[in-house]
Amino acid sequence: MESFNRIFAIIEKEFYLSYNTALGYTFIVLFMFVESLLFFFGIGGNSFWDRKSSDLGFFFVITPYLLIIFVSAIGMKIWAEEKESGTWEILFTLPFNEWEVVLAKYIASCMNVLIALLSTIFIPFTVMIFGQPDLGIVFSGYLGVFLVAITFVSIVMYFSLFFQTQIGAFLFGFFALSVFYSPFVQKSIDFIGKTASDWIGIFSLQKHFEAFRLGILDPRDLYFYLSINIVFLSLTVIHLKDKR
Amino acid sequence: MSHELWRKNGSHEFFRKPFFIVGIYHLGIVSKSMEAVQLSKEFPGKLAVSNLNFTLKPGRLTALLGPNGAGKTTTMRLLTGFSRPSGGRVTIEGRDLSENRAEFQKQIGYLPESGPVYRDLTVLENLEFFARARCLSELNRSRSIFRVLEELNLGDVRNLVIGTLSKGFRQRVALASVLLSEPKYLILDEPSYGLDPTQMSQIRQLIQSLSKDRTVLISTHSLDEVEEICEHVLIMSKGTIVADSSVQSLRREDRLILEINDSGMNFEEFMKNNGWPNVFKIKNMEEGFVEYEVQLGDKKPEDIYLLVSRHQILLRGMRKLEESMKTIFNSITGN
Repeated sequence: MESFNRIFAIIEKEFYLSYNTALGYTFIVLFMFVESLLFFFGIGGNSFWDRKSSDLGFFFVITPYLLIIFVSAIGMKIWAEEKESGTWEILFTLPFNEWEVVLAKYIASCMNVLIALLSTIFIPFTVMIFGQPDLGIVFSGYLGVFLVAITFVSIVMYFSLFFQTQIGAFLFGFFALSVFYSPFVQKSIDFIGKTASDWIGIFSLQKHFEAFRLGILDPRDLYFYLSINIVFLSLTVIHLKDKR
Repeated sequence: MSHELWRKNGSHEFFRKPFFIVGIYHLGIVSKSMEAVQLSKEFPGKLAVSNLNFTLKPGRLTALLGPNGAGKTTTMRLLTGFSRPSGGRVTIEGRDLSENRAEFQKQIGYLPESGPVYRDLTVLENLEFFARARCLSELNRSRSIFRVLEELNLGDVRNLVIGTLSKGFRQRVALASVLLSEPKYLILDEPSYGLDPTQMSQIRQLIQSLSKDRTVLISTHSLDEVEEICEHVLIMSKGTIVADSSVQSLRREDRLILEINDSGMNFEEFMKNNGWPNVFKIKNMEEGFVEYEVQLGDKKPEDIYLLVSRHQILLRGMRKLEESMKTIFNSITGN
């Protein structure tokens, strides 16, 4: 119970820190704006009006790429802000266990991601005005995007630990997520050979997201994302303990 | 009841019972002190502190002094469990801090250097966070927050975002966050940093009153502060403790300077024979007078007066040896 209270204290603090200033709202509005701009007006001639189709396929293709930037921006604040302001020292002299701090900050960041994703909910509703999108695919797509996003959070959380400044944390977070999700990386792996590609593909975030995007809910994909999350959260806890 | 238990279960069971522990705690057998035992911390390529041994006792306000880079902050971080020692240990009430760090940290209040705070939170949100983090019950939370707002005169700014406050206010908020849960052990790094003289005096009084029933260690560069409120001093230089002493004996307040006309007698020997072993000649003066330094110990200045007048030794003057903390600090740290 005490653990729960302490975790809740950090989540609440993180929430206030995000939304007491305009920065948190700016991130959300910017995410929503760019997302809707890309979906409705597209890149080149690939707009919603040109496609003349009431499906959200393109929305779920572009969202993970936007999340790379958005989650890197959220991630840069997780540790570097505490280090820059000196509150890092306070945080780890309060009676918290490392895993409590990591879990609380992870949940708080996931909540930010969830708010950002929920802010785009008007996109499927708009599509529903013009046609009848498959709601099953919309649901599984959103679930997949959320799983990708929280996995991004866990990855950024670990890598940003190594940086003292927010800009350093952002740039490396962006780089790390790009490597983990980039189609170019996937293509490079394919180039090595089929067997190697198949093996490495097991760990590809993008490959596992494809099923969700197509409306297929395979528990193996769910386990995959949860496992990656657990691995990176554990690495973060281990690193924090080790750094003391 | 305890006798019955003794008879029934034998002495082993008796010793395990909580009332026995409480008993020896009050007898002072289990100390409420915080202790550094052969404490060392090594960073890659640098030994920050080495082989520190000292005890922080309850009811005694201890100052940690030392030039920049002496290892004060590292020592404080080790004492609060923020850093793990490379060697040795920190014990609290006789138990190793590393045994259950989070549990011990409930009893430790730590104010890091320059009082970092969450600048985007309001004063109340900040205090609420610290109260929750320290697991205070809802009733205790409100009471404690109200108490520290009063104690540190923060009532008027409680709904303001901390980032908009002056440095002095921010420092007070940081201190309020530390004092919320009334920790038994207070480790304060430059607590009066950024405060104006009036606030400084208030904070010093507050710290002094808190130290009556707590174990308090403050790090400061203000030697005036040490002289004003501290009873004990630890001086660090190059990662080691070079002085661990009461302020009084460090300032050599128990020492007198006597101007004696000893008429060629061995005054040092004479005093030694009369129960004053620590008498040292300083210098010869004019008209046959000689200056001596005498350590009083538990004796009084009038005892010397009685002794010398009984033996008809001419005493021209007697004064306290006065050395400023600055002189002492500089001579100890070699600055």
